[in-house]
Amino acid sequence: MQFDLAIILDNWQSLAAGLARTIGICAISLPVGFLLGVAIALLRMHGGRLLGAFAGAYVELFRNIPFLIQVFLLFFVAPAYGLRLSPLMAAFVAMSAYTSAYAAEIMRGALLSIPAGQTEAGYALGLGYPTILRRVLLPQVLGYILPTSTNLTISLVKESAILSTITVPELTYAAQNIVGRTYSPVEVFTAIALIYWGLTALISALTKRLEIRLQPHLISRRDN
Amino acid sequence: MNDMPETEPAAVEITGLNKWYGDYHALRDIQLSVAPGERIVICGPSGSGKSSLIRCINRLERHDKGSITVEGLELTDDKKRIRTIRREIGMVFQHFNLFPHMTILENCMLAPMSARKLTRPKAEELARRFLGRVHIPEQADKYPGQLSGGQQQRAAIARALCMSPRIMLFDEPTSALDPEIIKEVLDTMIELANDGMTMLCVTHEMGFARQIADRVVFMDHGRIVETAPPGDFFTNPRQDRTRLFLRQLLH
Ligand SMILES: Nc1ncnc2c1ncn2[C@@H]1O[C@H](COP(=O)(O)OP(=O)(O)OP(=O)(O)O)[C@@H](O)[C@H]1O
Ligand SMILES: [Mg+2]
Repeated sequence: MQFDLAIILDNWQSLAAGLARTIGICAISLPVGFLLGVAIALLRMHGGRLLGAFAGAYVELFRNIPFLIQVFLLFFVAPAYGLRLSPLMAAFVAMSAYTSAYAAEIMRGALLSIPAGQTEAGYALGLGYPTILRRVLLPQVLGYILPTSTNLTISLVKESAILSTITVPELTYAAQNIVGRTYSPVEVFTAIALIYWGLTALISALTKRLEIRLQPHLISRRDN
Repeated sequence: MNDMPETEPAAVEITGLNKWYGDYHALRDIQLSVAPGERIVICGPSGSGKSSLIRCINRLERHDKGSITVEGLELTDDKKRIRTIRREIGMVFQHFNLFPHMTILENCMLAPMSARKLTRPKAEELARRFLGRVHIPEQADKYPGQLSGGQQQRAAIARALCMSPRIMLFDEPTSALDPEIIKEVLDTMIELANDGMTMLCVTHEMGFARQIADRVVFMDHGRIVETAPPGDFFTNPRQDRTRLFLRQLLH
């Protein structure tokens, strides 16, 4: 078997467009999902019995059903109940919801890992919970959240390939199109495997640098 | 309410206080009135409810029965009132509870800026003044993890003082410290007492109690067993339970 680089070179524009779409979908739904996840985590921890149970059920729901099936439910089943979304809209909703469930668990674990004394010290100083959360708790959990969120981000970038099943024109969908036209699965799928790998490696590298920048108290302790 | 109170209201007035953790009756019919400027030392065996009592005063714990009044203002479920009362009360914890991601200066500036709406320069001036008062002005720009335990506890005291509290609560402030460092923290507390601060200290440092306490409160099984000036308390305790406790403390 021989590897024909020309096929990639001839189709690089479709691949680039697919990659751009993959990045675009992730770049929007990951932050949205994370913010939603923070809200779900807070609801679960401080929302009282009813809202807490709701948040818990939300997390379980999205974590216990395969992402592929979630996408199918949203795209093929939801229209029967009057919710009709374009493939791209469905992609954003599905990715955000899925992200939020995992982000909520990361967030909850992180907040629970901080000694209660930190929150108590904040209260004792007359601070309200929003201030304590923003100024005391969140900055401290960044060091914990960042590595786990990097893992989550990477798996979501990979999961986004599933969106090709509902004709979202992202990287995998573009690749399948090229294969359909050129009958060259070896070249095309090898190429997108490398592209996905490059993309996730880039994310790892960027967050590693961010990790170091966001933790001044840990660094200066090492210096002294 | 009387328009013209004949006497200054008590700094802290506790009547019929009861608290449960689930089925466990942690505080039983607590009665305690603390006058402005008074220094109270609370002692007693582990689990007797000392922490629970002082944590009820600034609502880190919610009491179930009875009333707590701080400078004439009764603690209720009203969030605004709780925060008002908390701003009048400083608290120092056994494990310091400094914010590890902020410098000592930032630790001291956070609450004045956020809760008292001080400008940054004003808050910084205040913070430096109190860090000077607890004798660690040179530690201002370090992170808590870079300080010794004694310095951290003094930083925590400075942080509380930056809110200009009228009452200070201490929950075993020296229990987590090495013996040779305890003195520097106690000295800071003694200076504070000599400045007229109203203080409630949970501590087993009996030398400290002798030196600054107006009254020593002895607790056991969620009750106040005995309250007496330190002279009487140490030399002539009325209750057998107190005598037993003091004997154990000496060994
Ligand atoms: N959050 C809680 N939930 C359940 N029980 C608690 C809680 N906090 C305290 N208790 C119990 O209430 C009792 C009194 O606790 P508290 O911490 O007030 O005692 P203490 O006198 O401060 O003891 P120590 O000297 O060990 O600090 C203990 O038996 C303790 O186990
Ligand atoms: Mg205690």
